Amino acid sequence: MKIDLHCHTDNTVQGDTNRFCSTSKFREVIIENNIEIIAITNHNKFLRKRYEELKNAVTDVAQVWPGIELTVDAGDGERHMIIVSSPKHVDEFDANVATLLKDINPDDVSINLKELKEVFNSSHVIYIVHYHHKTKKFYGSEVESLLEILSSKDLVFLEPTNITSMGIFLDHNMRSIIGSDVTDWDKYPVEKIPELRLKVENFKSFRLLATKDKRIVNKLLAEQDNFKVRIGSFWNRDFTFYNDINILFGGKGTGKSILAKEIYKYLNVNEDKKVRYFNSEKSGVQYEDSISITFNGNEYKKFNSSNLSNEIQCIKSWQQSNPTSIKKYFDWGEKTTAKELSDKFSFINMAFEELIDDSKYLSFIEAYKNFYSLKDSYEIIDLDEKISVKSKEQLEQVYMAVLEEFEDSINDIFVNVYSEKLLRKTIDIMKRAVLEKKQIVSKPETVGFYDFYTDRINIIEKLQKIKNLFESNNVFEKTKLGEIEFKGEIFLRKEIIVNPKNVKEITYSGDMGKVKVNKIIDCVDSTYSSAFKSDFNQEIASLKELFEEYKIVNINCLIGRKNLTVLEDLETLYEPSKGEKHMLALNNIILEDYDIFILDEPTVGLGHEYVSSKILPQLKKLVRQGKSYIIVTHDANIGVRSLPYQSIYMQYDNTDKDFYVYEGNPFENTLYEINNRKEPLKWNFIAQSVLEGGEVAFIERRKIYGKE
Amino acid sequence: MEKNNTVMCNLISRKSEDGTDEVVMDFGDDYGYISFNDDDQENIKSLFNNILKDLVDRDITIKMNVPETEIKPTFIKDVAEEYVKQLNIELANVKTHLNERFNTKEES
Repeated sequence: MKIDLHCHTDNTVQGDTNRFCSTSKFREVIIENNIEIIAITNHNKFLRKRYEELKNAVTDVAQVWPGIELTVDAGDGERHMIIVSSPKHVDEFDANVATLLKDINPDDVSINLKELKEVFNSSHVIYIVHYHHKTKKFYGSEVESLLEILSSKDLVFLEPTNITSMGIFLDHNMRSIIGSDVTDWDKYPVEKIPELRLKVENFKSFRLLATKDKRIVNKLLAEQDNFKVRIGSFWNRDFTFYNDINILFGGKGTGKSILAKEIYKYLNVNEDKKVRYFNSEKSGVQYEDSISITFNGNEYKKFNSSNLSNEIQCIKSWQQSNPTSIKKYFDWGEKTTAKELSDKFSFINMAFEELIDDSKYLSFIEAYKNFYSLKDSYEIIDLDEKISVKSKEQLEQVYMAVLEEFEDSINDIFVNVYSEKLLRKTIDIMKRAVLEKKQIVSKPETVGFYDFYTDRINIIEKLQKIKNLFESNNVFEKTKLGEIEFKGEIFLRKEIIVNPKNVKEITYSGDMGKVKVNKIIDCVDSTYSSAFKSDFNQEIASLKELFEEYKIVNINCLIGRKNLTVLEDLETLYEPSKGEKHMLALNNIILEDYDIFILDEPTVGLGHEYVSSKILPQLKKLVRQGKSYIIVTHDANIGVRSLPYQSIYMQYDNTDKDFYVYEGNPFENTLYEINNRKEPLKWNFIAQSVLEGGEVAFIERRKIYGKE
Repeated sequence: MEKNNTVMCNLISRKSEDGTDEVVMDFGDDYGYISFNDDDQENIKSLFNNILKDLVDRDITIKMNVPETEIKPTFIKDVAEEYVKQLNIELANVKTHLNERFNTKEES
C-alpha cells in the first residue's frame, strides 16, 4: 500500500508558493496515484479545518493523518522535523501543536528540541527528520541527541531524498520513510512514494509494524495468501510460503538445495498449481533451450497460406484424364451408318398375316400311312385262293400306282409347308439382325480437349499456390530474451523461411534439409513453367516422385526456421557471454507460465546492479500478477530488498556439528529455530553476515551516506 | 518461324507399323495423329498436349482434308469431320479461357 507521510496542502510560510491544494484536486491525486495513507504536514501550522475538509474528501479511499513539519533548532542550525499523529487523537495533537507553537508566526518558528520532550504522547505520534541530502537535514549526532531527548517509546524515522536511500537505510534496520514533500499538486511525485509490504489498517498498526512487533507482524502476515508445504525426511514439518517472494538462505552445504527440491516435489504432487524448478547450474542448458528451434506446425499461417495439403495431395494423385476415345466416335459412326442402311430394308416391317396350315399335310400323311398298310392286309388274306392271278396282278398295279401318286403328293405338300416355315425363320433372323444394328449410339458430346485443358489449369493453379509461397518474403517473429547491461534489450529473431535462397544454416523439421527443399522448389518451378509445354507430363511425374520420396504431405516440412540472437535493432547479431546467457535464461524462466517458481541460486554470477534494477523489480511485478517465488539465494539484493514474507535460514553449527533451520521475516527482524533448539536470531544480522554483498555492501553504503 | 493458325488434318489410309491397314487423322509431324484402328488414348493426349502448347500463343483451327482415295469404312469420313468440328469448337473455348486468364493476370 502506498503511503505518503510528508505532504503540504497550504502555503503556510513565505517559502511556500504553490503548495495549496483544493479538496477536489486532493481527491483526484489520491485516487489517481492509489495513495492509501497520507499525512498533511504543512510548515509550522496545523490547519484543523483544512485537515477535516481534506480528510472528508477522501474518506472512502484513503486514510488522512494529521501532522506538521516543524522548524527546530538542533543546536547547530535550523532543522526540519515532521510529526505525524494518529487521526484518532487529532484533538490532542491539535492542542499539543497549539501549546508548542503558541502564537508564533510560522515563519519565525524554531522549536528547541528539548521543548518537544513530553509534549506529545509517544504512542500517538511518530517523528520523521530530514536526513541525508535533504535541506535542513539532521546530522547523525543530532539524530542521536534527539533520540536521547525523546523517550524510548518514541518512534523516529529518517527521511532521505529518494526511495533508494530509504531502502538502504531499511537494509540497515534504520527506520526510514520518504514522503512526496509536494510543491506542485499538478506534478505529484508518485515515483517517490514508498509502498508498505504489509498493509496496515490504522496508525496504530503502522506504528507497531515500525516497531517490528511480533503480534502485528504475525497478524498482518496471516492476512496474506499462503500455502503450506509438508516436508518429510528429517525436517518433518509444515512450512508456510506466501504468494510472494520467499527466501531460503544459509551457508554453503547446509542443505538449501535439498530442501528446495523437497519443496518442489511436494508442490508438484500436492498443488493444483503449475510449479517450475530452476537451478542456475542449468542456466546454460536453459538458455540453449530458449533459443532452440521448435516447429509448431502453424508456420504457414505467417504467410496467409493454408498448409497446402490439398494442393500437394492433388499433385501426388494427378493424372491427365483420358480424352474421349476415338472408338466412341467410330462406334457412333458405324451405328449411324448401319441405321441408315437398315432403314432401307423394308422387310423388317414384314408381317405374315396367314398362318401356315400343316393339318392338311398331317392328315395326308395319315391317309398315306393307312393306304400303305393295305398291302399288308391283302397279303394276309391270301388273294391267290380268292381271285385269279390276273386280277391279283391288276390289283397290285393299281395299288402301286396309287401309292406312287400318294408319295408324290406328300413330297409336294412337305416342300410347300416347310419352305414357308424356313422363309419365315430366315426373315425373323434377318429382322433381329437389322434391329440389333439399329440400336442407338449417341454422338460423343466432346472430344475431351476442354476437359484436358481444365485438368491442366487446375493442377497449374495448385502449383502456382505452392510456387507463390516459395516466392514469399521470409518473415520473422521476435521474442525478447531479456536485457544485458550496456547492450540493452536482447531479442531472439525467429526467422520463418519459405524462400531459402541466400539464407544459410536453415533448420527444417524431420529429415528435410535445404538441398531437398531446393530440389522441390526447383521442380515446382520447372513443372509450373512447363505447364503448356510438351514436357509437362515428365515434369509433373518428377515432382510427384520427389513428393513421394520425401514423404511430403503438406508444406510444413518445406518451411524452415532460423533463430538469431540480436540487439534491439533486430539486425545486429549478438552472441551473449556465459554470464549474459544466465541473465537471459533467468529473465525467460521467471516469465514462464507457472504459478510457483522454485529458483535455486538464480542470481549467481549476475551483477548486483542487474539484480536490483532488473530482476527484483521484475519479480515484484510478477508477484502482483499472482506468481509466487521460493528463492534459494546468497544474494542480499534478493534476500534483503525483496523484504520476504517468509525467510528460511539454514545453519550448520560448527561447534555442535549440527544443522539448524530457522524461520522468520524482516518485519519482525527475527529468525526462530523451528524446533526451538536455539535462541532466535536477528534477521538483519544474519542477512548481512550470510548474504553475499551483505556486510561489505553495508559498510560501503555507510560511507556513501556519511555514517561512520 | 511463325506458324500458320490453320492446322491440316489429313484423313488417310496407310499401313501401320505392324503392317496392317489403318485409317488415321494425321495432324502433321508437329502434332501427331489419331488412328481409327487403335484405341490408344496416349496418342490423343500427346496430340492435345502439342495443340495446347501452341494454342497458348496463337489461335488454332483444324482444317479437314479428305483425299480422293476411298476410305473404308466409308462412315469414317463423316466421323472424322465430326471429330474435327467438335475439336475446333473446344479449341475456340479454350482459347477464350486462356485469353481471359492471362488478361486477368496482367491486370492484377
